[in-house]
Amino acid sequence: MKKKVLAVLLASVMLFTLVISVSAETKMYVVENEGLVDDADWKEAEILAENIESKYGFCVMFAITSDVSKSGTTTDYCREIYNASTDTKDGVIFTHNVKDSTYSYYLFGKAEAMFGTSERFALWGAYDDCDTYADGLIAYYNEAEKIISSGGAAATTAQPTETTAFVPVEKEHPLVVDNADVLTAEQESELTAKLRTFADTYKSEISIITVNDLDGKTAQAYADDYYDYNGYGYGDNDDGMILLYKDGAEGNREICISTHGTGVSDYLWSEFEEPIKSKLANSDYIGAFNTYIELAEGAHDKSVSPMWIILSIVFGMLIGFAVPKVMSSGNKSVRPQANASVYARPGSMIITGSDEVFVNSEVTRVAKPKDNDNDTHTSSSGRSHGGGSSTF
Amino acid sequence: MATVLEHKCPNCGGGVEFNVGAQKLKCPFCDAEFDIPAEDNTASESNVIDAINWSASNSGWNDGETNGMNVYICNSCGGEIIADQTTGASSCPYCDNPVVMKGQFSGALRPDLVIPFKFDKNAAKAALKKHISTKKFVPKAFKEENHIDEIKGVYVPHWLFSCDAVAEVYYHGQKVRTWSDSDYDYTETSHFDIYRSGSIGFDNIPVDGSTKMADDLMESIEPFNINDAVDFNTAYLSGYLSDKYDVTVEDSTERANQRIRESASDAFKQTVEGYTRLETNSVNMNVANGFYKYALYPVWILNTSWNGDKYTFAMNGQTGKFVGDIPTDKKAVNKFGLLLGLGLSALFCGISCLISLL
Repeated sequence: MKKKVLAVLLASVMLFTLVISVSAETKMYVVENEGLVDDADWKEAEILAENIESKYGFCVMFAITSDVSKSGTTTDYCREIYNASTDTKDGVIFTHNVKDSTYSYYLFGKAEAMFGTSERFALWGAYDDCDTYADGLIAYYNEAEKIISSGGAAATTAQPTETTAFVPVEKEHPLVVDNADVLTAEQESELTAKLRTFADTYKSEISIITVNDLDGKTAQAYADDYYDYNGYGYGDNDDGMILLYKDGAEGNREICISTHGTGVSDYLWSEFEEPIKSKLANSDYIGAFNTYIELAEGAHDKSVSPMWIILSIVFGMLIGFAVPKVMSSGNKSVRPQANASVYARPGSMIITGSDEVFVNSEVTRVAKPKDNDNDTHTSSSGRSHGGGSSTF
Repeated sequence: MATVLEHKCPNCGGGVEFNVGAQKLKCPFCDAEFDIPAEDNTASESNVIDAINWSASNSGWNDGETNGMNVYICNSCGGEIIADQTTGASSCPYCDNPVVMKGQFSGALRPDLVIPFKFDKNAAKAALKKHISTKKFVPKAFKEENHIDEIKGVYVPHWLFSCDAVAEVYYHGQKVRTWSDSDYDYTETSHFDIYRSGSIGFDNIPVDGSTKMADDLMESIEPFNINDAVDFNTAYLSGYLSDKYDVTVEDSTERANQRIRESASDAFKQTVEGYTRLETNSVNMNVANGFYKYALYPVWILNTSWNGDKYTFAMNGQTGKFVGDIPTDKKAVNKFGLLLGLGLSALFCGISCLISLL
């Protein structure tokens, strides 16, 4: 009996050492300790990574973990995993910390110049956009290859003279993302066309996303991150706004607006909230999104209302006629002087009795003005966003 | 007429005038200067006026003292102007009418004190020009040189009241405290009844004794410094006009009491500290040791009529303080207001366009 137990123990020890030796032999590009990706998908990603390394000499790694406590921060974890896995000098590693839904990256060698802010957003966005971890990994490696093959940020800065033929590195992204499937295909293309025209006209990119699930984030965080990591926004400053609609049962629906760049001051949550919400509450999705575009257009096309002109003239005239009145107020210098304190005999005042008695007191309170319109907050990427959210 | 009080130059026999710079009599013909002749002032026996508890320290005229003085009565406003024989009054200083009647100086009280002029006519003209130049939208009539030239030096009669005031004053005080929490701003107003009693002495509070001279105008050029006052002597009147009181001391006490009451309550108020707001509720006052004097105070005065209204300028002849309401030229004001209004309207329209389109 004892022999049997020993044999089993020995066998398991041998098996364990075998596994270790095997994993030491094969290079691991995708480190996944959570069992979220099945082997077939994992293998597929590994092959893509191998191809990239053999073609470009770049080691592109990805890690999914829920525990980085041994390393300290997620960034430290990135560095340690990369250094433990490969000797390749040039490379990039992204780590998805599933515990708190954050990501971090580390760049090595040539990757530092190649992966600028927009490349990193695009790379992370490719992964983050997908519904499953497996799809995300594939998208991640495809995006990485695209960036590396084009030369990334290093290439765009190295060839500033070719501006005419310059193709923006900015990721081509859909302006309408209907994950909750509340729009028909025609409606989607109709909205997309409007949004493209909007961006060209106003140099500000506004977009729409519908979802069924916020991945455990708040609506605001989801909208901010979606905007940041997918490279939304117009121009270098990424000016624009995204409307997030989370579909669900009544009381569980949520809308959120995230603004960035000039969008923070152009688009005020208070002006968008009610008109859009009322239409969405009636399931008039296309109506709501058209309203969204119209309101955004209105924010740019503010014409001078006649009210302002009238007010300007009234105030101008009032002040105009008040000024000479004030200027000539000094023309009057004759006033009765009831007070004759100057004639008081110096030192003659003697106070013989004094008393000060509290009678009563009253307290009044005035509500402080609330102004949340231009409040900004910082998203997980560290960028500043405006906007707001509301459940209905 | 050995008793006629003419101030004649002992050198050349010309009429002498009181000179501001030298504070002496000066002959305009031979430039000789003389001290003011001493007067016999022994006749001051105080009259007690029981009814109002104010006692006088007043004296009558000396024999013959008034003989050299002429009285001019204005046909228009009824003002009586006193001038010595060397000073011809050609127009009424109060209403600018030519003085027609020339009468005999008579009785009335002899002033106790006089504050001599310290500023001459040129200084008064300069002060008037400066006064006008600092004001805006002044009608042209006020800037005309020949008009400014008509400024006249007048001794204005004043009653001077001195007393010890004993007063009880009740004040209402407020203390305001403010604080805030995240939703509201709070204001707490606490009310207090405050009481002060005590005494305070006043010396020589002046009250205008001439009806022709506006009281507020005279109070506006105050204060006069009594330390410069000298015993009355007709010699100081040389070259200037003088007015005779026509408001009796009894009629003046009301204003005196008002000013004493106000000043006492204000002085007591200074001892109340720490309140955001403090108002006087009521004052109970008694006056002790009250007495009055009759004094002539030096005032440079110019009358102007414009658009049917009378405007009077006055300068304190002792301190140089200059006052006088100046009307605004409505046309100039409207023109200025319209231009500025149009300019500002255009500016505001521009700004609102800019804000809307950005």
